[in-house]
Amino acid sequence: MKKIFLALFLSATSLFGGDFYGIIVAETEVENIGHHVFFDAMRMNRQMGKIAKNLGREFKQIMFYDDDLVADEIIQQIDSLELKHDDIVFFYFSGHGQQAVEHPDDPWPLMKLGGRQAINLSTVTMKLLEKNPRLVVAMADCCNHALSIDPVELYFAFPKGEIIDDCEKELIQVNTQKLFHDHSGLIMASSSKAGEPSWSGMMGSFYTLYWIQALYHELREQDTAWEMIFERTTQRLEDKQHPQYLIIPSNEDARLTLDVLKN
Amino acid sequence: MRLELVIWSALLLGTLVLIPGCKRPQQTEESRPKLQEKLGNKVLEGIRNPEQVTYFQVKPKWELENRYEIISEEKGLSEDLQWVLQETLLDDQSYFFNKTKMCLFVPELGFRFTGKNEVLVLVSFSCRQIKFISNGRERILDNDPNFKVFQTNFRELLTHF
Repeated sequence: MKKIFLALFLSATSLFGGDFYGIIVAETEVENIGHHVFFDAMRMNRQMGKIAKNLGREFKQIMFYDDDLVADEIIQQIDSLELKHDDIVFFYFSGHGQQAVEHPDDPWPLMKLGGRQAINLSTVTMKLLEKNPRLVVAMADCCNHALSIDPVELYFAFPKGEIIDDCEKELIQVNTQKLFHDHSGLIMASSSKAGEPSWSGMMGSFYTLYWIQALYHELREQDTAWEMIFERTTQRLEDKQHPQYLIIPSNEDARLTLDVLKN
Repeated sequence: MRLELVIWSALLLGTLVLIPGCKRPQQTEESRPKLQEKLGNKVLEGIRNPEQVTYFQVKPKWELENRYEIISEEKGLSEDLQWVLQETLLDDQSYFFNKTKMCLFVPELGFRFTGKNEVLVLVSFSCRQIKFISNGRERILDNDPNFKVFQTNFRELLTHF
Protein backbone atom coordinates (compact mmCIF):
# COMPACT_ATOMS: atom_id res chain seq x y z
CA MET A 1 0.00 0.00 0.00
CA LYS A 2 2.78 2.34 0.99
CA LYS A 3 4.60 1.54 -2.25
CA ILE A 4 1.51 2.39 -4.30
CA PHE A 5 1.15 5.64 -2.40
CA LEU A 6 4.78 6.44 -3.12
CA ALA A 7 4.41 5.63 -6.80
CA LEU A 8 1.35 7.89 -7.01
CA PHE A 9 3.18 10.56 -5.05
CA LEU A 10 6.22 10.37 -7.31
CA SER A 11 4.17 10.42 -10.48
CA ALA A 12 2.20 13.38 -9.14
CA THR A 13 5.35 15.27 -8.26
CA SER A 14 6.97 14.45 -11.55
CA LEU A 15 4.24 16.60 -13.06
CA PHE A 16 6.26 19.54 -11.80
CA GLY A 17 8.87 18.61 -14.34
CA GLY A 18 11.35 21.14 -13.01
CA ASP A 19 15.08 20.70 -12.50
CA PHE A 20 17.15 20.83 -9.32
CA TYR A 21 19.96 23.36 -9.56
CA GLY A 22 22.82 23.00 -7.10
CA ILE A 23 25.09 26.04 -7.02
CA ILE A 24 28.19 25.67 -4.86
CA VAL A 25 30.70 28.46 -4.28
CA ALA A 26 33.67 27.24 -2.24
CA GLU A 27 36.84 29.06 -1.25
CA THR A 28 38.94 25.91 -1.48
CA GLU A 29 42.24 27.69 -2.07
CA VAL A 30 41.96 30.18 0.73
CA GLU A 31 44.59 30.27 3.47
CA ASN A 32 44.02 28.48 6.74
CA ILE A 33 40.62 26.88 6.02
CA GLY A 34 40.94 25.87 2.33
CA HIS A 35 41.08 22.14 3.00
CA HIS A 36 38.10 22.35 5.41
CA VAL A 37 36.11 24.14 2.70
CA PHE A 38 37.07 21.48 0.17
CA PHE A 39 35.43 18.82 2.36
CA ASP A 40 32.33 21.00 2.72
CA ALA A 41 32.00 21.44 -1.04
CA MET A 42 32.37 17.72 -1.74
CA ARG A 43 29.86 16.80 0.99
CA MET A 44 27.27 19.34 -0.10
CA ASN A 45 27.64 18.35 -3.72
CA ARG A 46 26.93 14.76 -2.74
CA GLN A 47 23.93 15.81 -0.64
CA MET A 48 22.50 17.89 -3.45
CA GLY A 49 22.88 14.96 -5.84
CA LYS A 50 20.99 12.73 -3.39
CA ILE A 51 18.22 15.33 -2.94
CA ALA A 52 17.79 15.69 -6.71
CA LYS A 53 17.64 11.91 -7.08
CA ASN A 54 15.03 11.59 -4.33
CA LEU A 55 12.99 14.34 -5.97
CA GLY A 56 13.20 12.61 -9.32
CA ARG A 57 14.60 15.77 -10.84
CA GLU A 58 17.59 16.32 -13.06
CA PHE A 59 20.57 17.60 -11.04
CA LYS A 60 22.10 20.61 -12.69
CA GLN A 61 25.33 21.25 -10.89
CA ILE A 62 27.20 24.57 -10.97
CA MET A 63 30.42 24.76 -8.97
CA PHE A 64 32.81 27.64 -8.42
CA TYR A 65 36.03 26.82 -6.60
CA ASP A 66 39.85 27.16 -6.79
CA ASP A 67 40.60 30.05 -9.12
CA ASP A 68 37.02 30.32 -10.43
CA LEU A 69 36.00 32.66 -7.64
CA VAL A 70 35.46 35.89 -9.51
CA ALA A 71 32.40 37.80 -8.33
CA ASP A 72 31.49 39.08 -11.80
CA GLU A 73 31.58 35.58 -13.27
CA ILE A 74 29.46 34.13 -10.47
CA ILE A 75 26.88 36.90 -10.82
CA GLN A 76 27.01 36.59 -14.60
CA GLN A 77 26.41 32.86 -14.41
CA ILE A 78 23.48 33.36 -12.01
CA ASP A 79 22.08 36.11 -14.24
CA SER A 80 22.28 33.85 -17.27
CA LEU A 81 20.39 30.99 -15.58
CA GLU A 82 17.10 30.35 -17.30
CA LEU A 83 14.94 29.02 -14.51
CA LYS A 84 11.51 27.55 -15.04
CA HIS A 85 8.62 28.16 -12.65
CA ASP A 86 8.91 24.66 -11.20
CA ASP A 87 12.68 24.60 -10.74
CA ILE A 88 14.31 24.34 -7.33
CA VAL A 89 17.60 26.15 -6.68
CA PHE A 90 19.93 25.32 -3.81
CA PHE A 91 22.75 27.86 -3.36
CA TYR A 92 25.56 26.99 -0.93
CA PHE A 93 28.71 28.90 0.06
CA SER A 94 31.61 27.84 2.27
CA GLY A 95 34.60 30.05 3.01
CA HIS A 96 35.58 33.27 4.71
CA GLY A 97 32.88 35.76 5.51
CA GLN A 98 32.07 38.85 7.48
CA GLN A 99 29.13 41.00 8.44
CA ALA A 100 27.61 42.80 5.43
CA VAL A 101 29.29 46.18 5.35
CA GLU A 102 27.18 48.07 2.82
CA HIS A 103 23.91 47.49 4.65
CA PRO A 104 24.35 47.41 8.44
CA ASP A 105 20.83 46.06 8.94
CA ASP A 106 21.45 43.07 6.69
CA PRO A 107 21.73 40.05 9.03
CA TRP A 108 23.13 37.85 6.26
CA PRO A 109 26.89 37.57 5.71
CA LEU A 110 29.17 38.97 3.07
CA MET A 111 30.81 35.98 1.36
CA LYS A 112 34.51 36.49 0.60
CA LEU A 113 36.00 35.36 -2.67
CA GLY A 114 39.74 34.88 -2.17
CA GLY A 115 40.20 38.11 -0.23
CA ARG A 116 39.86 40.50 -3.14
CA GLN A 117 36.16 40.26 -3.83
CA ALA A 118 32.97 39.49 -1.96
CA ILE A 119 29.24 39.02 -2.55
CA ASN A 120 26.35 39.47 -0.13
CA LEU A 121 24.29 36.34 0.49
CA SER A 122 21.18 38.51 0.30
CA THR A 123 22.22 39.85 -3.13
CA VAL A 124 22.68 36.36 -4.57
CA THR A 125 19.42 35.19 -2.98
CA MET A 126 17.53 38.16 -4.41
CA LYS A 127 18.91 37.48 -7.89
CA LEU A 128 17.72 33.89 -7.66
CA LEU A 129 14.28 34.88 -6.36
CA GLU A 130 13.85 37.34 -9.22
CA LYS A 131 13.99 34.39 -11.59
CA ASN A 132 10.82 33.06 -10.01
CA PRO A 133 11.72 29.43 -9.38
CA ARG A 134 9.45 27.29 -7.23
CA LEU A 135 11.85 27.32 -4.26
CA VAL A 136 15.19 28.94 -3.41
CA VAL A 137 17.33 27.46 -0.65
CA ALA A 138 20.26 29.76 0.12
CA MET A 139 22.85 28.84 2.72
CA ALA A 140 26.24 30.27 3.73
CA ASP A 141 28.72 28.65 6.09
CA CYS A 142 31.13 31.45 6.98
CA CYS A 143 31.90 34.07 9.63
CA ASN A 144 29.40 36.84 10.03
CA HIS A 145 31.98 38.84 12.07
CA ALA A 146 34.18 37.75 14.99
CA LEU A 147 33.36 36.92 18.59
CA SER A 148 34.97 34.85 21.33
CA ILE A 149 33.46 31.42 21.92
CA ASP A 150 34.65 28.14 23.38
CA PRO A 151 35.79 25.19 21.25
CA VAL A 152 33.14 23.01 19.67
CA GLU A 153 33.59 19.34 20.39
CA LEU A 154 33.09 17.64 17.09
CA TYR A 155 30.85 14.63 17.00
CA PHE A 156 30.03 13.37 13.58
CA ALA A 157 29.38 9.72 12.99
CA PHE A 158 27.27 7.89 10.46
CA PRO A 159 26.99 4.13 10.31
CA LYS A 160 29.64 2.68 8.04
CA GLY A 161 28.36 0.43 5.28
CA GLU A 162 24.84 1.64 5.93
CA ILE A 163 22.04 -0.60 4.76
CA ILE A 164 18.87 1.16 3.70
CA ASP A 165 15.84 -1.11 3.39
CA ASP A 166 12.98 -0.42 0.98
CA CYS A 167 10.78 1.13 3.67
CA GLU A 168 13.50 3.54 4.72
CA LYS A 169 14.27 4.38 1.10
CA GLU A 170 10.62 5.26 0.57
CA LEU A 171 10.53 7.32 3.75
CA ILE A 172 13.61 9.28 2.64
CA GLN A 173 12.04 9.95 -0.75
CA VAL A 174 8.69 11.02 0.75
CA ASN A 175 10.42 13.31 3.25
CA THR A 176 12.63 14.84 0.57
CA GLN A 177 9.50 15.53 -1.47
CA LYS A 178 7.87 17.12 1.59
CA LEU A 179 10.82 19.39 2.16
CA PHE A 180 11.25 20.54 -1.42
CA HIS A 181 7.98 19.99 -3.30
CA ASP A 182 5.65 21.03 -0.49
CA HIS A 183 7.52 24.29 -0.08
CA SER A 184 7.90 27.28 -2.31
CA GLY A 185 9.41 30.71 -1.82
CA LEU A 186 12.61 31.04 0.16
CA ILE A 187 14.60 29.08 2.71
CA MET A 188 17.66 31.06 3.76
CA ALA A 189 20.30 30.20 6.33
CA SER A 190 23.71 31.20 7.54
CA SER A 191 26.05 29.54 9.99
CA SER A 192 26.22 32.53 12.33
CA LYS A 193 24.23 35.61 13.23
CA ALA A 194 25.47 39.11 12.45
CA GLY A 195 28.45 40.00 14.62
CA GLU A 196 29.47 36.40 15.26
CA PRO A 197 32.05 33.96 13.87
CA SER A 198 31.72 30.49 12.39
CA TRP A 199 34.20 27.70 12.98
CA SER A 200 35.71 24.81 11.07
CA GLY A 201 37.92 21.85 11.95
CA MET A 202 39.95 19.20 10.18
CA MET A 203 36.78 17.45 8.99
CA GLY A 204 35.15 20.56 7.58
CA SER A 205 32.98 23.39 8.80
CA PHE A 206 30.98 22.57 11.91
CA TYR A 207 27.73 24.07 10.63
CA THR A 208 27.79 22.14 7.34
CA LEU A 209 28.68 18.90 9.13
CA TYR A 210 25.87 19.27 11.64
CA TRP A 211 23.39 20.46 9.02
CA ILE A 212 24.05 17.39 6.87
CA GLN A 213 23.76 15.24 9.97
CA ALA A 214 20.43 16.91 10.86
CA LEU A 215 19.16 16.38 7.32
CA TYR A 216 20.21 12.73 7.51
CA HIS A 217 18.15 12.21 10.69
CA GLU A 218 15.16 14.28 9.62
CA LEU A 219 14.80 12.36 6.35
CA ARG A 220 14.38 9.23 8.46
CA GLU A 221 11.72 10.62 10.80
CA GLN A 222 8.02 9.84 10.30
CA ASP A 223 7.39 13.51 9.76
CA THR A 224 9.83 16.19 8.76
CA ALA A 225 10.14 19.97 8.54
CA TRP A 226 12.77 22.51 7.55
CA GLU A 227 12.50 24.09 11.00
CA MET A 228 13.49 20.79 12.60
CA ILE A 229 16.62 20.50 10.45
CA PHE A 230 17.77 23.99 11.40
CA GLU A 231 16.83 23.53 15.06
CA ARG A 232 18.68 20.21 15.25
CA THR A 233 21.74 21.90 13.71
CA THR A 234 21.54 24.75 16.23
CA GLN A 235 21.21 22.27 19.09
CA ARG A 236 24.31 20.37 17.99
CA LEU A 237 26.34 23.57 17.99
CA GLU A 238 25.51 23.83 21.71
CA ASP A 239 25.38 27.60 22.03
CA LYS A 240 28.96 27.85 20.79
CA GLN A 241 27.93 29.12 17.38
CA HIS A 242 24.59 30.75 16.62
CA PRO A 243 23.15 30.03 13.18
CA GLN A 244 20.08 31.75 11.75
CA TYR A 245 17.39 30.81 9.24
CA LEU A 246 14.42 32.31 7.51
CA ILE A 247 11.48 30.56 5.85
CA ILE A 248 9.16 32.59 3.65
CA PRO A 249 6.62 30.58 1.66
CA SER A 250 6.06 33.16 -1.07
CA ASN A 251 8.61 34.38 -3.61
CA GLU A 252 7.06 37.84 -3.64
CA ASP A 253 7.14 38.18 0.15
CA ALA A 254 10.73 36.95 0.19
CA ARG A 255 11.77 39.61 -2.29
CA LEU A 256 9.98 42.29 -0.27
CA THR A 257 11.75 41.13 2.90
CA LEU A 258 15.19 41.22 1.30
CA ASP A 259 14.39 44.58 -0.30
CA VAL A 260 13.61 46.08 3.10
CA LEU A 261 17.12 45.18 4.28
CA LYS A 262 18.65 47.24 1.50
CA ASN A 263 16.67 50.39 2.16
CA MET B 1 83.01 14.80 48.41
CA ARG B 2 82.27 13.89 44.82
CA LEU B 3 78.52 14.05 45.56
CA GLU B 4 78.89 17.55 47.04
CA LEU B 5 80.74 18.65 43.91
CA VAL B 6 77.97 17.34 41.72
CA ILE B 7 75.28 19.09 43.81
CA TRP B 8 77.14 22.44 43.82
CA SER B 9 77.80 22.17 40.08
CA ALA B 10 74.13 21.48 39.46
CA LEU B 11 73.08 24.44 41.63
CA LEU B 12 75.56 26.75 39.92
CA LEU B 13 74.45 25.61 36.48
CA GLY B 14 70.82 26.07 37.50
CA THR B 15 71.53 29.60 38.68
CA LEU B 16 73.26 30.45 35.42
CA VAL B 17 70.32 29.13 33.46
CA LEU B 18 67.76 30.93 35.63
CA ILE B 19 69.41 34.36 35.80
CA PRO B 20 68.98 35.27 32.12
CA GLY B 21 65.60 33.57 32.28
CA CYS B 22 64.14 36.01 34.81
CA LYS B 23 62.83 38.28 32.06
CA ARG B 24 61.74 35.41 29.90
CA PRO B 25 58.67 33.21 29.80
CA GLN B 26 58.83 30.78 32.67
CA GLN B 27 57.12 27.94 30.86
CA THR B 28 58.92 24.83 29.77
CA GLU B 29 58.59 23.07 26.44
CA GLU B 30 56.46 20.42 28.16
CA SER B 31 53.80 23.02 28.96
CA ARG B 32 53.29 23.95 25.34
CA PRO B 33 53.34 20.71 23.35
CA LYS B 34 50.60 21.81 20.97
CA LEU B 35 52.31 25.06 20.10
CA GLN B 36 55.52 23.16 19.51
CA GLU B 37 53.70 20.80 17.18
CA LYS B 38 52.00 23.61 15.24
CA LEU B 39 54.87 26.08 14.97
CA GLY B 40 58.02 24.01 15.42
CA ASN B 41 60.98 24.57 17.73
CA LYS B 42 62.73 27.18 15.58
CA VAL B 43 59.77 29.55 15.71
CA LEU B 44 59.39 29.08 19.46
CA GLU B 45 63.11 29.62 19.93
CA GLY B 46 62.98 32.74 17.75
CA ILE B 47 60.24 34.21 19.94
CA ARG B 48 61.86 33.13 23.19
CA ASN B 49 65.38 34.42 22.50
CA PRO B 50 65.30 37.38 20.13
CA GLU B 51 68.05 39.97 19.85
CA GLN B 52 65.40 42.63 19.43
CA VAL B 53 61.64 42.93 19.08
CA THR B 54 60.11 45.70 16.97
CA TYR B 55 56.50 46.54 16.15
CA PHE B 56 54.87 48.21 13.18
CA GLN B 57 51.53 48.87 11.53
CA VAL B 58 50.49 46.56 8.74
CA LYS B 59 47.55 46.27 6.36
CA PRO B 60 46.38 43.63 3.90
CA LYS B 61 47.46 43.87 0.28
CA TRP B 62 45.98 40.87 -1.50
CA GLU B 63 47.80 41.46 -4.78
CA LEU B 64 51.18 40.87 -3.11
CA GLU B 65 52.42 37.31 -2.70
CA ASN B 66 52.68 37.69 1.08
CA ARG B 67 49.25 39.43 1.16
CA TYR B 68 50.31 42.24 3.52
CA GLU B 69 52.16 45.54 3.50
CA ILE B 70 54.05 47.29 6.30
CA ILE B 71 52.79 50.86 6.37
CA SER B 72 54.76 52.41 9.23
CA GLU B 73 58.26 52.64 10.61
CA GLU B 74 59.39 49.87 12.98
CA LYS B 75 59.71 50.84 16.64
CA GLY B 76 61.48 48.98 19.43
CA LEU B 77 59.20 47.24 21.93
CA SER B 78 59.79 48.02 25.61
CA GLU B 79 61.20 45.20 27.77
CA ASP B 80 58.03 44.97 29.85
CA LEU B 81 55.76 44.61 26.84
CA GLN B 82 58.20 42.21 25.22
CA TRP B 83 57.93 39.98 28.27
CA VAL B 84 54.12 40.10 28.20
CA LEU B 85 54.15 39.39 24.47
CA GLN B 86 56.45 36.39 24.86
CA GLU B 87 54.41 35.04 27.78
CA THR B 88 51.22 35.39 25.77
CA LEU B 89 52.51 34.00 22.50
CA LEU B 90 54.35 31.06 24.06
CA ASP B 91 51.40 29.60 25.92
CA ASP B 92 49.24 26.72 24.70
CA GLN B 93 46.35 28.17 26.71
CA SER B 94 46.30 31.24 24.45
CA TYR B 95 44.97 29.37 21.43
CA PHE B 96 42.32 27.06 20.06
CA PHE B 97 43.97 24.12 18.33
CA ASN B 98 40.95 22.02 17.39
CA LYS B 99 39.13 24.60 15.27
CA THR B 100 39.65 27.60 13.02
CA LYS B 101 37.57 30.70 12.52
CA MET B 102 36.17 31.15 9.00
CA CYS B 103 37.37 34.73 9.02
CA LEU B 104 39.54 36.40 6.40
CA PHE B 105 42.85 37.26 8.08
CA VAL B 106 43.20 41.03 8.06
CA PRO B 107 46.54 42.00 9.68
CA GLU B 108 46.66 45.22 11.64
CA LEU B 109 49.75 45.08 13.87
CA GLY B 110 53.06 43.28 13.37
CA PHE B 111 55.98 42.25 15.59
CA ARG B 112 59.42 41.28 14.32
CA PHE B 113 61.56 39.02 16.48
CA THR B 114 65.05 39.44 15.02
CA GLY B 115 67.88 37.06 15.79
CA LYS B 116 69.12 33.64 14.76
CA ASN B 117 65.54 32.52 13.98
CA GLU B 118 63.67 35.57 12.74
CA VAL B 119 59.92 35.39 13.29
CA LEU B 120 57.28 37.80 12.08
CA VAL B 121 54.05 37.86 14.08
CA LEU B 122 51.03 39.53 12.49
CA VAL B 123 47.96 40.30 14.56
CA SER B 124 44.35 40.54 13.36
CA PHE B 125 42.28 42.12 16.12
CA SER B 126 39.09 41.86 14.07
CA CYS B 127 39.50 38.10 13.51
CA ARG B 128 41.18 37.42 16.84
CA GLN B 129 43.89 35.54 15.05
CA ILE B 130 47.69 35.59 14.94
CA LYS B 131 49.84 34.68 11.95
CA PHE B 132 53.37 33.40 12.52
CA ILE B 133 55.77 33.75 9.59
CA SER B 134 59.27 32.26 9.59
CA ASN B 135 61.50 30.85 6.86
CA GLY B 136 58.76 31.21 4.25
CA ARG B 137 56.27 29.22 6.33
CA GLU B 138 53.05 30.66 7.69
CA ARG B 139 50.62 29.48 10.33
CA ILE B 140 47.46 31.17 11.61
CA LEU B 141 46.21 30.43 15.14
CA ASP B 142 43.00 31.62 16.81
CA ASN B 143 43.86 33.43 20.04
CA ASP B 144 40.35 33.87 21.41
CA PRO B 145 41.13 32.41 24.88
CA ASN B 146 43.50 35.25 25.75
CA PHE B 147 42.21 37.86 23.34
CA LYS B 148 41.32 40.35 26.08
CA VAL B 149 44.84 40.26 27.50
CA PHE B 150 46.23 40.73 24.04
CA GLN B 151 43.87 43.54 23.15
CA THR B 152 44.46 45.40 26.45
CA ASN B 153 48.23 45.30 26.13
CA PHE B 154 48.89 45.67 22.45
CA ARG B 155 46.04 47.36 20.58
CA GLU B 156 47.21 50.70 21.92
CA LEU B 157 50.50 50.30 20.03
CA LEU B 158 48.62 51.16 16.85
CA THR B 159 48.11 54.70 18.16
CA HIS B 160 51.87 55.23 18.14
CA PHE B 161 51.98 55.70 14.39
